[in-house]
Amino acid sequence: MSAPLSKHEMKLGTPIPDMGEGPISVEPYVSPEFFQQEKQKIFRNAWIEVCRDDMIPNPGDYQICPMEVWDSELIVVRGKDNQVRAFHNICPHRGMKVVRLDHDESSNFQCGHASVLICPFHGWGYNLDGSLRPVMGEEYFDKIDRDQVGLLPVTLDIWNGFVFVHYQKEPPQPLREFLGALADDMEEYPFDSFTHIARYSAQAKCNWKASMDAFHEAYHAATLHGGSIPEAARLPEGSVPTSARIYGPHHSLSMWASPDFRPSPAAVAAWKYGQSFSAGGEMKLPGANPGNDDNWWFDINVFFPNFFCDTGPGWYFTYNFRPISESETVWVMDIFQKKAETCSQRIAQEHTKVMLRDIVYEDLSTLEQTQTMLSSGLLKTLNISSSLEVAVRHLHATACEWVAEQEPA
Amino acid sequence: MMERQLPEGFEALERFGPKWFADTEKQRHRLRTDSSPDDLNDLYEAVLERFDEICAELDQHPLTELSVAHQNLLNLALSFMEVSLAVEAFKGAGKVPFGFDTERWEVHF
Repeated sequence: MSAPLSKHEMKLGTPIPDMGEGPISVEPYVSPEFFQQEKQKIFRNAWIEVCRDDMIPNPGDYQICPMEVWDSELIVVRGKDNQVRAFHNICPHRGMKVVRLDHDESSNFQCGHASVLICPFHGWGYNLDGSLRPVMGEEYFDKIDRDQVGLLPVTLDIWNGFVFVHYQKEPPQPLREFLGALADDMEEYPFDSFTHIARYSAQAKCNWKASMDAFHEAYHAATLHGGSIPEAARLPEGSVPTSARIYGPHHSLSMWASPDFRPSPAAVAAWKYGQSFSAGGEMKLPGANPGNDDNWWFDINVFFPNFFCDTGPGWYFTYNFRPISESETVWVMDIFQKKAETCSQRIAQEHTKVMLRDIVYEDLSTLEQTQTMLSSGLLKTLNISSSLEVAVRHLHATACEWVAEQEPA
Repeated sequence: MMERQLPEGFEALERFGPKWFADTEKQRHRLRTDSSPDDLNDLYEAVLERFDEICAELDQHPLTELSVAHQNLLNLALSFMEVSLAVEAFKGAGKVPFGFDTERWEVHF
């Protein structure tokens, strides 16, 4: 493409660490051995986001969170004391799942409500704090030590409503310290005032990092999104973020909204009554646009290892990338927006969902085709830009660094 | 007399019911992916033309207490948004061209 991309410069909000130069290795995207290392050294050493606490607002509300990368599944439950706790979904009696969900298509994400959790196999029951209740036929057992036999607890902490878990009983860093300066930048964003308006998910035969890489650079927009957002192709300078920040293992990019953007008729209709994802939002919210960039559209915030929280003017959305294997990932997208007070605001809200969803259909379309070809072994390295694809290099470098340096948990 | 499908003044849009009065995004998205470009264009043009009138009518009523006819009208407007990118960006294609497989894509709401 001959059109210049540098109508604006990408500002650097932080120093960029030394992450090497030149092409990056394909191996971390395709190697089963590397993935086994990642499971031990990354996913058992980092805090992992699983849900929002307002999805389980009342005592007894619980959510089942699959955690394939730990070879487990979690119950996240709000106790009678209003405390949110997490447990492995396994009964210490015989290993059965304590909470068994319907096998419908959305079984990965089911919420429920219970005053006690009762294993469907032999009826062992647990209080919401994980403690074992009286067991039917207990007189036939050797003494059951209730200090030892309860639901297996999982370390949990919450930041700004986001529930994170850690594999280790005593994590190397507390959650807030782990989230670091990226969370400082986002601290004041009014996450609590938004409502959950959409969820999409898909299981793709693609490495988790290669999957994430489709979402934290804008370089692809002018080409891949030439269909859904033809403006992106007309204005390819949108491929350059306005600013980038790297905070330890995490990073953040701000996206550019062209002042020459020509919204479609449906986008115009949406903006007239409410909010749309399409560029043009003027709502100024704290905790977003940390560089105070001109013509800001939204921020792409990526918490290592696998959680996105992209904040915009009146909406935000999250992605969780749950690794299944070196070549398979579950992707989940949740969209949040200011609550619609009127019918016309509700209609405008639909535009946000549909536009984001249709764009992301295009993003996901690249995953399996990329992974198939990467797995061929034809390429040993990938030729990435150090600026436009700084987040791709950073994720790759961080994963390699953790695999090389962290102790297995 | 049959109960009106849509509020008074919107009779011309009743031909889109009950199909496009579907309650959930999941249902509306399925309808879109299964519809022809002509059908999507027809819906898009007809609702876009009346969009401001639809909003004005609906905003006289609280979002959470709509009559059946008003709920149908709201759902029709949501269907308009559902098909908007198909018409505006994808030449009427209900499925995103070259997009991820809709059969393996879960719409939860």
